Amino acid sequence: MRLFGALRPLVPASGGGCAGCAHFCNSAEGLEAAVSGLSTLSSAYASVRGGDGLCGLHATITNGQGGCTGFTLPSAG
Amino acid sequence: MTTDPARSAAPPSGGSEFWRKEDWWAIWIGLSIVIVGTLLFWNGGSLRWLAVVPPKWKSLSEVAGDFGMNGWRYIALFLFWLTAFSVAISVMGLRLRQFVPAFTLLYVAACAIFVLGQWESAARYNLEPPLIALLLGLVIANLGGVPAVLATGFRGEFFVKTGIVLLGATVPFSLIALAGPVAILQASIVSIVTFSVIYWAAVRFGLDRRFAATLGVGGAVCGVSAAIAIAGAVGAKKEHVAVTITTVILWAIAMIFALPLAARLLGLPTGIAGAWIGTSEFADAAGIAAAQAYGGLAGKVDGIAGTADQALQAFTLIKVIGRDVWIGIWAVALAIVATTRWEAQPGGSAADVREIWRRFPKFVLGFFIASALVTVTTAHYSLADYNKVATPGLIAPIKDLRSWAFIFCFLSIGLSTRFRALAAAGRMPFAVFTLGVAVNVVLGYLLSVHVFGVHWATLGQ
Repeated sequence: MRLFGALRPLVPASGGGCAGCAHFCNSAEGLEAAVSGLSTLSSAYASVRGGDGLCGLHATITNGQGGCTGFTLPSAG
Repeated sequence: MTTDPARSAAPPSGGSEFWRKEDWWAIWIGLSIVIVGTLLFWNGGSLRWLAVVPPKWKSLSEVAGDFGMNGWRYIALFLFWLTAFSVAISVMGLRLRQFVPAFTLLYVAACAIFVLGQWESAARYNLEPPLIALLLGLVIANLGGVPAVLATGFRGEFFVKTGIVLLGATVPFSLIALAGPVAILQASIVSIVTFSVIYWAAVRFGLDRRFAATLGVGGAVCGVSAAIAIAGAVGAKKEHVAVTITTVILWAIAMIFALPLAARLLGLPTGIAGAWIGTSEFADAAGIAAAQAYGGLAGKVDGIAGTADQALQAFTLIKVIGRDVWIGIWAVALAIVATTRWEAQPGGSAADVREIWRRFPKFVLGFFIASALVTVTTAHYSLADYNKVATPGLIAPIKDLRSWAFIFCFLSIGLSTRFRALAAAGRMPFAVFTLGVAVNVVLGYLLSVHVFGVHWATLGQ
């Protein structure tokens, strides 16, 4: 049962998910610049990366589907 | 700190992945070559004019003569590759201003490497083109010979994926069907054992579990690509990913030289050596370099049985089909473990089975399709006619274009490896990874030589 629980989508703690957060960057160019050596024997443009990006707030690599209380809307300007 | 919103984008989904991911571009470019080659072949033509390669030579005057006679073909080939890759690079959002000079440099260096490899005495002096290309790139990059800004143009992973799609056209589909299950079995045994050793040792020595998992798949599945995929699945720290990448790169580059050397000392047939390299190398590009270097010794060095193709085919079956394609399943499985067994952390998310397809290395589909297409096209030939008609008219030109793509890759590995720019490896992570490497190499040797040795030695025969 626990396994199936783990497959359910999580509701972001703040109502906003990582993918829409100002702290989250999943551009391939940005990720390659942020993670040394990523483009040497792999690539941020590879399918295996999926939608992963960098959380600038917690300095973690995340798939953008979660969320936390640090959610910040991108500034309009 | 907030990330520049302009650099954030929604994850590729649906049709957008077809033009935003290099795996798909490798398929478009590779399959376009195979389809055009097949159409020309059906109509009595061939890609031979475009697929120019330097001839075997004894004196430099022969090389000069070839370039004098075929200069336009080399220029046409340069323009072909430049156009194909530039379209992809541009659409994916990379900067053409950096790519064009980088690729021009790459092509000139690739010509020199190709010429060197065709020297009749190259094998006698251990001048295997993949290793020379890698060394040349490493020296140039680390002595500051290339502006850092050009490094983004050395897309080794993109080139190797394109080469692997083209490789599919030279591997009969029946061979994939017959040898694939053994490759998956061997690769699975080694992957699970290697991951378990690294993960267990890392946790035992106090490393964070997410870090341990990232290191484990880096050694067990597909190196840097696996590390970034699993880091995203379990939410690993960026610094831990950087340390894993450094460790993988150091070991992968060492193995490019060590595995062919060990195989040569042991006098292994090319098919067996390819299987061992496929089991024990960490990245596709690095493994192709090692497998091609060893395969190139067949027929040139006494005591090495088999063909150059057997080394590449065995490597690809084990590494790509046996290890790479399972990365999505590793990601989902470890995401389930992370969310149910490990401490929660900000930004964590539940496992999503759709990740299996999202993270699937799509270029593998191009490998299968290219193989199926050429197999169907040539199915009605007898072996004699296949060798007399299909090989020179269809297979050989594709194989030569594949060789170019791989040389671009080998040079790119060296040119994009700047040791000073890498994160410090860290003593403990390096030690536990090294333990995994030791187990992997020994187990890979035993399976490749003693358990499945006959299978790999006779691959495709």
